[in-house]
Amino acid sequence: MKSITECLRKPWPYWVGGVLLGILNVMLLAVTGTAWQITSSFLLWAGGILEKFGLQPFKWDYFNYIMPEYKSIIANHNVFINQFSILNIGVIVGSLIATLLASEFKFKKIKGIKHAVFALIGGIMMGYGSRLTNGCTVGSFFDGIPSFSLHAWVFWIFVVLGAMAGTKILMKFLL
Amino acid sequence: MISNEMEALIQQRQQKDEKKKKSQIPYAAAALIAAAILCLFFWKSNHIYAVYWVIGIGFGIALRYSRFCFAGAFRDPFLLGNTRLLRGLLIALMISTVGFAVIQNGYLKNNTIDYTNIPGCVTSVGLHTIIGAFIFGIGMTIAGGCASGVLMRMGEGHALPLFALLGFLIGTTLGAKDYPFWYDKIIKKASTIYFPEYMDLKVVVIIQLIILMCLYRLAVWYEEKR
Amino acid sequence: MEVRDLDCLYEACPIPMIKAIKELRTMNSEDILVLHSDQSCVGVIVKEWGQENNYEVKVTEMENGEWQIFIQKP
Repeated sequence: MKSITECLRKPWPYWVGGVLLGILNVMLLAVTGTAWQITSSFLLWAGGILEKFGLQPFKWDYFNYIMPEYKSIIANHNVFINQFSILNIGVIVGSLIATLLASEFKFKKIKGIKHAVFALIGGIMMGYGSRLTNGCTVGSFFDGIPSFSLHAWVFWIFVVLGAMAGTKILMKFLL
Repeated sequence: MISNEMEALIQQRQQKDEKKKKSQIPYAAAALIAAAILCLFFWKSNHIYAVYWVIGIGFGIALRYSRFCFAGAFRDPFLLGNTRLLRGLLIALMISTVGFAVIQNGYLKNNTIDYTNIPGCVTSVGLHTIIGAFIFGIGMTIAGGCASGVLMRMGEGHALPLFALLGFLIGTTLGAKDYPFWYDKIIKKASTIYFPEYMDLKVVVIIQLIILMCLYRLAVWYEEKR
Repeated sequence: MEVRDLDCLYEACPIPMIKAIKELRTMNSEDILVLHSDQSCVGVIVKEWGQENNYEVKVTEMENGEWQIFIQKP
């Protein structure tokens, strides 16, 4: 019994993760025709929330330029429950299951306001940047490289440069 | 070899600090059952939703168990001299390259090239890519992870990624609102470079695999050099 | 042989690692640094860093989701 719990707690080597992510990514595209995306769902949720406040974000020009899949989701009023939301919630649930199997789950609070503000600003920057690149590290880069599109290689170079700049900022303010 | 002093210290600490660690496997089982029930529910309402659900869960488990982090793959080589995550990423990219090529090959046999409809992500490249990726890179580092990392850490019970998520909601909205500005100034003049338009797909695949493998070798050499 | 504790609970990657490396630079040979973290990746990364730089590292989970990482300077 003990050896099973030990087994469930051991982290997997990086190459196992790489193999699985690669296979799952391909399976997703092959079976559904949709490439893995994360931030698309966030935009739809945000739009859905704004709609509840009386705004009409889905009439913005943005939705005319991008992604035919958005159009049918918006037309059917599925902004909260759609393939992208299900993928995202699935990732959270999968991580939860894996954490519980390893008995490593714990509610972890926030250390301080400074950390929360940095996370918030970081999220805003990521959200904004992802609209320019038509996706985040997953939707634009991870799917873009195997799609043989140059944009993903450019993304790679500049996201690394951004990470370097971000690290300098981090060391200055949060260390 | 761990020194005796360290061994002794660890034992001392464990006696003092190690709280009763309860096994959470029953909760895991409950979560798995709930996920399976939801899966059936999705299957009933729209078959394909069940596929997204299962694959999403698969991504979550794979990310968490292998401690995968895109932000780390980009950041750790220069911050810590560690290319483990980068190498994992390269492996994932190599496998995806082959898989996507097969899928795109099937698509291209029967369709003309239309960038929005090609399976995968084929989009324009230009100054907007540079700016967007750079901003994303900064944001990802100060938030502690990218979008996948945020989801993964929420599953672990962290409260901090919730702020990053809120940031995502705000940021994507602002980005969408501002999009016409970027489109007029940069994006509408930008071209899309889709390699199979210039070379046979098979050649592109081989060249890309060679490049990725060279990057892998480079990553191994870089880590050993440090 | 000095033992120092570094509390990095609730701090996001990569801060615990950076803080630990900085702290270790100020310590003497045979001293032990105990890094407290609740990030699942920190243990793996510090262990690898230790292997590359000749530091002995032992990762222990003190309670569910909280680790104490023992690092001894060579």
